[in-house]
Amino acid sequence: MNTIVRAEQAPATRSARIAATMANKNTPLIKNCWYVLGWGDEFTREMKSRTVLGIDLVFFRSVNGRPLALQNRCPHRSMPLSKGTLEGDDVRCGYHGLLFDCAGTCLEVPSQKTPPPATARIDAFKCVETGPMVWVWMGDPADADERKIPDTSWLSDPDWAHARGYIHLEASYVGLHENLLDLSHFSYLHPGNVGTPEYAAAPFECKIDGDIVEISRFVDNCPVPGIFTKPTGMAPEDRISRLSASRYVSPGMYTAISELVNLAPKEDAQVKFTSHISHYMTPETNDSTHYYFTFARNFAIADKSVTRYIETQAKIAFGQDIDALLAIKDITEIESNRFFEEINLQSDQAGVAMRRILKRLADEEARS
Amino acid sequence: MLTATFINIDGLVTQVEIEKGKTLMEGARDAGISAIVAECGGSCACATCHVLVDEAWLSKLDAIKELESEMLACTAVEAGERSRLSCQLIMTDALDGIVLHLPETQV
Repeated sequence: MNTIVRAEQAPATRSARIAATMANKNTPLIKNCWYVLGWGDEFTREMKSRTVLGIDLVFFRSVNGRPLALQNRCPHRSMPLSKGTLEGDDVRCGYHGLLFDCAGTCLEVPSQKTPPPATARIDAFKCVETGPMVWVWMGDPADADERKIPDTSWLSDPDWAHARGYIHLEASYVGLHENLLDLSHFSYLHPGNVGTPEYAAAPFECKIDGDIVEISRFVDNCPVPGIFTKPTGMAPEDRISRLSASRYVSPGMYTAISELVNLAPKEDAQVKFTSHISHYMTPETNDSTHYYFTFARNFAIADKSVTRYIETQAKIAFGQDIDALLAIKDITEIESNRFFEEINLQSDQAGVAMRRILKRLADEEARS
Repeated sequence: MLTATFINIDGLVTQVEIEKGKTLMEGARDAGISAIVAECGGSCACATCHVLVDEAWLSKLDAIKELESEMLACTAVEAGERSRLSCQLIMTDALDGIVLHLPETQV
């Protein structure tokens, strides 16, 4: 990810000017987007809180089962409402007892008989549950369009099983996005896990079309990546062809497909193994990210040990990504007084296109 | 075979054969012309394949699109009226013999 040029040392070099056309960790976060707030089973009758796009949210499940999210900060003296109590679907602040309904209207200020002033209100955020997760819209509620929630229908499909996980990343979501669009790191950051040596050198195709960026790579003969051996029943030395495609869907989501074809299947054995791996990045702040993932497969669907194996292997692989992003964050901070210019290589084509999209979306929001 | 002529700031002239369909940047890079850096390999993300197109050839080129224009604003040597990014110029029969001047630096 290109360096951030500090104002007091901003020479108008080629590299600095180019960096200014792309999103970086300081780019304002994009509100008009559906982000994953949490797993459905986190929404209970007990209030929980989570920070999304620099705003603290309180969330819970309504009496009749709807997921709800509200501003967590009481407009009176900023007490987190999540430390208060739920009365039906109304939230009572644990400090001075202000009562808010799930639309954010203040119903009662216990210390006065007069009706609560109109200014005593909190924001309510639209939540939609699909499959195992709940999405939240952080922009203007009037613009929340459920049809724009990314497709994850395979997570509810009985012919598929999925593993899932969450990692908290103490770094900007932009770096995570970029990590997912330059899969040439598989061979070096994830050797033995999702990477095989052939992967980095295999030619890739990049498709950039408006707000969508997709890369795909086909390796026609390689060994089985470690993460797929147990689940597919193939040995590490078996040879497969491997198609992988990764698509940037929105500031909050990626989806990837992996298709392995066994080149020398035994009789009656399954030949093609397909996985859908989705990454949901919900910015917590400009410098930290909630990273959810689902890893769905259409093979060995009844085998829970396979689900656990994939979950473990995925966490190892994604943990390697996170370690890299944190190491990069550390060195960037240590050298914050040094003017440093990163280079863009051929494999950065998709990542650069994606960062331009993020910058454009952020600029559009700033103007409106 | 189609050719392009690159002239660097010292006046050194290099004639390069470039296949139809390849970009002029790729042709220069593959021929080892060091004055074309081509950092990003053609993604229009680095502005280091800047060329100054000889007057006679300017009108034969496809019009500059938005992204190239944005990157031309970033070149190390300020872009002028004859400036193009060679990764956006594709060799065709019509460009056979094109003459390109190289700027003092790409970085």
